[in-house]
Amino acid sequence: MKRLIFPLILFILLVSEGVAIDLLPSSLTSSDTLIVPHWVLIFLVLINLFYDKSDTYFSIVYGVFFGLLVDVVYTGILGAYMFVYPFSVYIVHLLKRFLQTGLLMTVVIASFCLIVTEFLLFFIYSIVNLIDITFITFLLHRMLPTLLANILFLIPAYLLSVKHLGRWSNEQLGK
Amino acid sequence: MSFFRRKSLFVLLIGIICLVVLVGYSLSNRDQLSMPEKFIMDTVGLAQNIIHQPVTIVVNSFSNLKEIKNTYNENRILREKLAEYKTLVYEVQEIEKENEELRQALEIKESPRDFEPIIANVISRSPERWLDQLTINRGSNDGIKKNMAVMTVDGMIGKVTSISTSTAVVQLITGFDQLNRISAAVSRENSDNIFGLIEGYDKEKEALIFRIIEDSDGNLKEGELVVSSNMGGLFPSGLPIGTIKEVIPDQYGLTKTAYVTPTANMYDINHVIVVDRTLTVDDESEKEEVQ
Repeated sequence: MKRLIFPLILFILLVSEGVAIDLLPSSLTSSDTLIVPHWVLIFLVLINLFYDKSDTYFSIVYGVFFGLLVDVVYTGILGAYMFVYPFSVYIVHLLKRFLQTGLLMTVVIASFCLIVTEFLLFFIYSIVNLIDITFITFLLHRMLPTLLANILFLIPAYLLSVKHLGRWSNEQLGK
Repeated sequence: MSFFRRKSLFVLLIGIICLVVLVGYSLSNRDQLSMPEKFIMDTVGLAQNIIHQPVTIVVNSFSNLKEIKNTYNENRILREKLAEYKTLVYEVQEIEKENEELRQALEIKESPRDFEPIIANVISRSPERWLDQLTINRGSNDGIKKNMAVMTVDGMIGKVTSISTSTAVVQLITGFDQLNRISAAVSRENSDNIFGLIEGYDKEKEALIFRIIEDSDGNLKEGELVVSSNMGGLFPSGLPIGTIKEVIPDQYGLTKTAYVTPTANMYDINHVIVVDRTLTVDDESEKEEVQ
């Protein structure tokens, strides 16, 4: 049961990412700004910060798997998210050693992680000629709104899950 | 430490190789999705169906409350229109009957205009907004095939790009690139129709790029309706695509390009109609069109 809880939460987040765009008022979605929900990634960062020890890599394994799911279900270009999610979660893993945890620090780390993710996606999709936009438009119309929207998601997710994650992490240690 | 460094570098390299191989594989012109992909799409589609329904009910009830305010005015306008339609319906019936008789006289059975509609619901929209894809809750079990046109009541919105047994992915026309062209036409009463290709979407102008291939008089006016044509061999003719916003000559002055505003709202799509062409096309010509 314990083993299933993370995949289940991640799966629900994955599914609701697709439904979420419908929920937003169309005035927001029809304008130039592109808001991309990276809820799966946010939760992976939380798992990494509060559940994973320095020698366990649950979040990265989940990152590979759910990145692949995002690719299959939402983009059809296999490999992009599958590479980018675990990569940026691994960077969080490296950063974790030097920083202490707290809401503010989590927001900073997650923002950094989102920036890395968006850059890599922009880079990969540009290389395969899937998109043709300038770097500036990417920054203004995609990076900024996406960053803000995902931080908005991060704060309630942090408050709801941080206690549970810490408790499960201790149980993992006790085993 | 050095061993650890080397190990992580090794994993990174393997990751990059996987990335390149998988991206290359998925960008290659493949006809069908692989089995695991279909399975995943069906499973996620099922979950999306379950989540989507209560969400739409809540969202709809909110927007319904807003609409109640306008009901009185709308009702009045609609009544006036209804009166006009009554005479129109009679005329259309007469014309249809005449058309059928003439067809029988000429022994034409199928027309490129005919299609079987398959009604579907949108269950999710790709969060990767660069790609402009939708997932609908009908798949190969319901008779959906690749490259079928998809429209809302207002007009054409895109085409089916990949299918699993119970879901299908629709590429919106706003996300089309040069490889995915639609043949389109502007109908003219007295002279030949003006033909052209929808070649892509201009994000800055928020309009489709319609390149006119024929140098027919080309006196397009703003507001004229662009419809799909059956010349491409994929879509039935006569599906509305958009209205002309602006016409400009291309850089050499030989052809003209028009910007077309789509008639359908690309951001508020709930129910779609998948267009199953009744006119049978042999597979070979279809394949040529895709390439």
